Amino acid sequence: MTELFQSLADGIALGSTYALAALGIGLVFGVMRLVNFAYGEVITAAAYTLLLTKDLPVWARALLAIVAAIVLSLMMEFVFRPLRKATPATMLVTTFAISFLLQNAAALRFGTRGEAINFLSGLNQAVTLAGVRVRYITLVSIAVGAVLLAATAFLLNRTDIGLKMRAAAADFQTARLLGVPAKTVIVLAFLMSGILAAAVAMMLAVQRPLATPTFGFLVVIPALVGVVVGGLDRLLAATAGGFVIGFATVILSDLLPSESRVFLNSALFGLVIVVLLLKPDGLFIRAGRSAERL
Amino acid sequence: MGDSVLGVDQLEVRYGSIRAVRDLNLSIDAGETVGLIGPNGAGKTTTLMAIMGAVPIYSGDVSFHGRSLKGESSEVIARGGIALVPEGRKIFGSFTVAENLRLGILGRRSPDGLADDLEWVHSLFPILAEFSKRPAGQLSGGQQQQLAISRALISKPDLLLLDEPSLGLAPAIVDHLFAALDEIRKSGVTILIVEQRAELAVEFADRSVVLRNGEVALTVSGDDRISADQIAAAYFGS
Repeated sequence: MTELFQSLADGIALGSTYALAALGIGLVFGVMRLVNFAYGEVITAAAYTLLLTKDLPVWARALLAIVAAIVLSLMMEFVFRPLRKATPATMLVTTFAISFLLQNAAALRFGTRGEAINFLSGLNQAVTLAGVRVRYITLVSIAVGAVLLAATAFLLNRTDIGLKMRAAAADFQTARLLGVPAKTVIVLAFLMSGILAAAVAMMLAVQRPLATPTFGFLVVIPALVGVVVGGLDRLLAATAGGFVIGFATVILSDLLPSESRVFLNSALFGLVIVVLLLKPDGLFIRAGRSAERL
Repeated sequence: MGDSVLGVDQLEVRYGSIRAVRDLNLSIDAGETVGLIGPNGAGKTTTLMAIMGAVPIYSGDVSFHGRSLKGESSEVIARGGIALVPEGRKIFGSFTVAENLRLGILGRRSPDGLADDLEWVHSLFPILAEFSKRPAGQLSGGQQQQLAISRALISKPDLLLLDEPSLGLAPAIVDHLFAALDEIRKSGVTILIVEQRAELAVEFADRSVVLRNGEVALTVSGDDRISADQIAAAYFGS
């Protein structure tokens, strides 16, 4: 029973981190119809910033990681801007190109073997709560995930700019005809996704302390799978999908015998295929329901 | 009458090699209601879209209060005081009625008089106050049209563009809707209305312009006694 609770806590923690990545992807998709594969490199940039600022206080490293992620995210917005009216295939290929370009740039600068980030390593120590040993980072990941998801939900549902973002995501042209400033909502979406990427990088840097060129890419792939499983067209569903993938990864990993764990991804993606065969619009989208993308 | 709110000068709009609107001239004075009628494909909606900056102007110009709108984006034009009630209503179905109205409020140039304007809109369409927390997608077609008009009206525009407000609505609902539009007209709002039901538009507007193949085929004053045959002749060129 104790092991089950530990698995559940770890599953919720990784689910929260993947949910943040899925939210970052979903925010940009909502306003631009762009599946940004290069989002992983925004996470990687934040991780390398943590690496390069090792000598600074933790708060300064965190702040600089957020700044780096925001700057790279906004630079991507600048690159994608002329492509706003391009076909989805063109935009997708462009994001692949940017992703591989940045990965290779990182490999040239830092090498492929990885370097230790050493960020808040103490959070990997465990605490006993009601007989269950849980790492501090598990609790921190859950808390950070909950706070950022709640803050995003508040911004989207309770503020004027959030309403404009939701309108732009639901019907971009009609929103513009009502006076919603297209550029502002797109820039805000990229800015928010940058902040989320930095948060993901910090949570992961504690648990996987090696900065590599594929640091973020390896997170974005399962998060994107989660987005598709949840429902690409709705932000809440996409975020929930990200959570489900993170949660399922941990639970499957604990359920599989140790000699079979090499098949973890195969088992996970097998489940994804089954889900998409049964619910092609997404796990959390009701059939025939009109979509609100944010 | 007197001050020109909208000027359309030698407007030409193209979709590729197709000339959707050509040599269109139109002037609307403050407080005036003008109808734009014609058969499908005549260029009515394209004209509204060109005014709103949603399709590029190939040649000619559109001016609002004497200022050219050529090259301006839709959002700038909307915030400048032109509100569109689009064809098919285009309300946000998953948003509440109140949120749809809030989008209109966010397009206002000034918050002055908002409470009075909201009260007026709710008096025109009381159902919107009753259903304010309901998802707009759950409203009937007529109620959605009321919401689309209210959303435009609450932005306090100098010029209201209506694209096919009667489309898909039952006759009784259309009568009710046009009674409300008449109230809006009497309040002094300048209106350009595109309407397929030609007689309805001619009766409602101070004057109407018949478009055919992107060109003006006939201009009819609201006081003119014009027969259905004359409108049909203008429509089909016989």
